[in-house]
Amino acid sequence: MTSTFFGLETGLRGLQAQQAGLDVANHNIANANTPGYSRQNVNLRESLPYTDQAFNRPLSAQQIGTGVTVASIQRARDLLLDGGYRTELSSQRSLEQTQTTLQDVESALAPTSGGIATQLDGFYQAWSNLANDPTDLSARTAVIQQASALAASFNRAASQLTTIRTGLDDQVASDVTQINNFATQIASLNLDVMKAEQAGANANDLRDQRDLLVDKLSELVGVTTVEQPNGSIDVLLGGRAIVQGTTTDPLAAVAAAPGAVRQVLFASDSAPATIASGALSGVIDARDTRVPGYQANLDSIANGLITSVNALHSTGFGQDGVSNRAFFVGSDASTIAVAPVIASDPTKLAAANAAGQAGNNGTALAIAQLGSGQGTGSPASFAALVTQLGLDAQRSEGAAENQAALVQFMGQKKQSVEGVSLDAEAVDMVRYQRAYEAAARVITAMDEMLQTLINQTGLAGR
Amino acid sequence: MRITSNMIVDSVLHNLNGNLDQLRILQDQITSGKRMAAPADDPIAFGRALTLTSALSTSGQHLTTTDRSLDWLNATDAALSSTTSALQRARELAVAGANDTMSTSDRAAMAVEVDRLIQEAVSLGNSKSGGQRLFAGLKTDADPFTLNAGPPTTVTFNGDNGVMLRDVADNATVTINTPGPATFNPAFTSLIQLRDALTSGQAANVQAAISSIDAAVTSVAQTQTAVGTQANWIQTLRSQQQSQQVSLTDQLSKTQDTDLTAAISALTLRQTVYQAGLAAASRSIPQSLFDYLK
Repeated sequence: MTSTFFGLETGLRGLQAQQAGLDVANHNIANANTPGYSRQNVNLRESLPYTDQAFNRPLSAQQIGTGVTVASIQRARDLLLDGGYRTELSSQRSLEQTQTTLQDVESALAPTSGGIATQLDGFYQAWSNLANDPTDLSARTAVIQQASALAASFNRAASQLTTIRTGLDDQVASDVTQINNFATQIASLNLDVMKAEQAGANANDLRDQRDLLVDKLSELVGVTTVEQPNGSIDVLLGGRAIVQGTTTDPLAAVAAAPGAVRQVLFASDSAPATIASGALSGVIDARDTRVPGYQANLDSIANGLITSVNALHSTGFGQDGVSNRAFFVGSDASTIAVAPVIASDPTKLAAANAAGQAGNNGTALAIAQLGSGQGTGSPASFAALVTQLGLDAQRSEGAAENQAALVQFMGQKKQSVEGVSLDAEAVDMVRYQRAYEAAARVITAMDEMLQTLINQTGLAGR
Repeated sequence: MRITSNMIVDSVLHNLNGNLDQLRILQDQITSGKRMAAPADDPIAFGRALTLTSALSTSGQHLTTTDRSLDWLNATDAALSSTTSALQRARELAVAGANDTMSTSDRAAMAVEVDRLIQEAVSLGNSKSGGQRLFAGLKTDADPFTLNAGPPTTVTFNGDNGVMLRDVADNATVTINTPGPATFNPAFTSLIQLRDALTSGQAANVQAAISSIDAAVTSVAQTQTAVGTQANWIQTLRSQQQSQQVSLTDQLSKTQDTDLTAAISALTLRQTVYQAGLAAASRSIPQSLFDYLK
């Protein structure tokens, strides 16, 4: 036999369980827009039944249900999806970084107006004009002005590329600081999760926060995580843990020598860190491979221009009859300049290929002809560089876009599992509210029953 | 698939952004008139546009060179015509002077006129175009011919036999100057011969000078023909250059300019899609079951 008040206890448990369901729905709705939040489910389970010996069947027993209990509150999360999402996110951030860098290089080498291409045309045009009248001082001055403008546009492009590279190197330092920051926060959340779960609860919200940090960390650098039985996670970078339990092994961005680019090392033992993907890997790739590649190409064109023009100019003669003067000084895009001796005196410009002939335009003609050639330093060679850059940028843009679409797709899949659906919460609210009302009604019924029992029975003996 | 409220918001935002980006690209193309803003937009066409721009610049420069070369040849032609006129006037005087009826004083008067013609011829030999001497070879900065009064009267040449070259088209380098001594020396010699014959008063000597003058006229005429031929050749190259420039401009425009008709109709289409997206978003985003639960 159950006790007289047995039903009140069952009703109370019903009220508590439905209220827990409503509380979780409330929590879900409150966090519908919280980044990293995964929706929570309340798992209800029948509480332990009461075994009642039956009067008429002494050898068997009846079990009477005792109501409901909240078994657990779980977050909806697909860990496999999380890992895949992070891998794609890391690689997308890396591609995006490459694309951004190439766009910067494009604006340095092929600005929408002006730039080296325009100045190269103007330079050879000025020589051709001089060939029309080598005695014309204004044509000589024009050659020097055009050459100075050309040299300046090479200098500007070279310094823009250097600035891009320096900016990328600074980015490495700030990314490393950010990575260490995330690692520290993850280690501290590890401790919180371990403490909370020791008591047997699911640290849903703490885990959400920790997963969000791992997502953010994955944007910067590709990492893998391993969950330990105690609820903490180890974060591995190329096989070496940067977070293990509650401790971190921080990274450092160190320049080997003044002026050298920063290398990413483990601060504890200076071992190089493996940066395979993530924004940081894009930054390092751009800084160490992409940008230096274009710098080398630009320098080679500037050098070809200097060499080819000087080779002809030094065999030519100025109006003063002197030969063997260089037209350009310098050796690359950052150092190219018109030789000061020529810049300060246009009559020393060698238009003639023989002394004492005022009308001789042999050298000017030969230099102007370089402009229609294909040699390094010609407009054609620069157009080829811009085409190559465009192809690289286009390819990286396409790859970044495809990867972004993949990340968007995986994000949607994650959202599908983790996200809060307001419709579902509305249904749950109604469900739990109605059950709560019904449980309350049962208690009222019990109350009335006891009222009957206590106040209305046994009146005969009064 | 389970659909959550944020998934709808995310994908609406993603698609609207995509549409806006396309709209931005089309706006840029229409307002700038250029199909490409950066090499990555169409690398091959961007590189080709640079090459075509260079070719157009070179072609424009060739046209300038052509015009200035033609100026030079016209100036040469004018100087040669004037030289022919001077020689013809001298020939008229010679024919008159060879007549036995002429008196010595008449011949002396004629000699004075021929002397002026000699000076004129020397000055024609020193003609300039844009500050450069036409007949000095490459020593264009000083008068090539100097008249020495004598006696005997001589003309010395201070120029050289340098050849003046001009690039008037790709792979077409032409010579524009005319050698001075070969053209002018027969003229000077024949004129001096005539003046000396008139001064000496001997009709026979005057008669002999006529044939020298004829030879000089022929020589100048031959040079002039050569100049005319060269000018015609350069004219031909010039019209080729002009049609090449039209074709290059056309190619450049096709390579880098926005096809306005296509761009504007694409813009209209994109705008419609974008507005439809906004309308759809305004209906789907705020909706949930809560709107209907009472």
